[in-house]
Amino acid sequence: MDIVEIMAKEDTPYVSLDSHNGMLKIRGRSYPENPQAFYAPIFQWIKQSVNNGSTKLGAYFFLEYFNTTSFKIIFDILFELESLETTYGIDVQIFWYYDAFSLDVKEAGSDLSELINLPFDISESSF
Amino acid sequence: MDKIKESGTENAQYSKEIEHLKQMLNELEETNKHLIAATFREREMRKQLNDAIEELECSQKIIEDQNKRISESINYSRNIQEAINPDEQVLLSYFPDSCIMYIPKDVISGDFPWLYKKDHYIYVAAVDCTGHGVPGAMMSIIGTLLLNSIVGDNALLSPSEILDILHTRVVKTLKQDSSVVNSSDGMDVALVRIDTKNKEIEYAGAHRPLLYFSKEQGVVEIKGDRFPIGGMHYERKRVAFKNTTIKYESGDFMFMFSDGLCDQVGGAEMKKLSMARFIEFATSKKHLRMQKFESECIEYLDEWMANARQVDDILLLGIRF
Repeated sequence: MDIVEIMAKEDTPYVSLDSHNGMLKIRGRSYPENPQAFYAPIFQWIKQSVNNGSTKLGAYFFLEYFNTTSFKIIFDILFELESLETTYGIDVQIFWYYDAFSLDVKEAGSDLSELINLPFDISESSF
Repeated sequence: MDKIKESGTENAQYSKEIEHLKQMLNELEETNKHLIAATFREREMRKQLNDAIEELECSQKIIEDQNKRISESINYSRNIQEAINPDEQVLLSYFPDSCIMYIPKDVISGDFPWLYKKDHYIYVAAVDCTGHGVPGAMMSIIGTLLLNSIVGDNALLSPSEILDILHTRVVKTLKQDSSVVNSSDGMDVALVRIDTKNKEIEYAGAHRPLLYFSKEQGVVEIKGDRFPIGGMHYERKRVAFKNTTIKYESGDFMFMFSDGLCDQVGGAEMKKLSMARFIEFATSKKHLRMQKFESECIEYLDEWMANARQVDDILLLGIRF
């Protein structure tokens, strides 16, 4: 059970949680009816990574579109990751990708980077 | 001798044939047994199938009943939302060339227009609450009531002052400052106060821009502030909202809208409509009266969406001065 994968649906992104390599990936569109329920396994996984004895964690976001509620949950995920670093000393790095047509995704990333105290890499990518 | 020999051979042949017939009879009996068993099995399966169909029909009826009850309840709540939302006719009475394009994703909406007249000032807002459907609509009622009370109970406030108070009140109403409650719900707002006497617009925005078209400058997107109303996520960096003032000339026009418009996916590549495409469309239709613009905008959206699903509530307010 090193890698947990959630396949993308019309309104939810692809998620991969790799405990072995300390990697979290979210890719696609996010506008589910109940984002809290959808993202619950990610919060659980982040909490567990403390027990796994991980020392490093990379979070990769390739988001094309997200509604406001999903964005707030992504925010919560980042806060949770931040507390991994501040509370448990885990080395966390954030990678935020946007495609050239979604400048709002880029802006959202730069907003987040200002509010979250973690190394935050924002770059363009075609996906 | 020959005859005896012959009948001996005949006898042997008969008994062989009898043996053969017996064997066939046995086989037939065996087959018959199988057939009887199969018939019984078939009868049993048919019964099970019928039971399953009956059960399915029963669940279908339960689902239909529940669906009907839920739909009726939501349909009724639509009446309440319609009663709360401002009447387009009132906006038209203040600004004869204006429109409210209101396209909920579901029956009820998390987007709402807001309108308030105080002396010669007219407040207009396009508000986009988190969520859509029932949770969105519940937030929209909180928003309307808070805005009414903030503007009604205070001396003349600027849009930024209203947004500052609105944020504090939403946080308080949803107990977001308590560690027990986990709510990050809130709203994005584009708010203007139009001073009809001095021909001046004051705008403040919580995560929602104002799109302004003037003869002199063409189209300008005023972005407003980057934080929403409600929720504690931005508390570390949150500062007071800021006002932007615009002197308006007759013929200038402006739009305020929820993110459901530019975020609608569609087109050949299923991309977002985007602000750039909307500005291009609006610029090409700038000669139209707002009511006509609204109907062409709906057509444009329909064409863009084609077979895609509407992703969020859509609201657009247009005013020409």
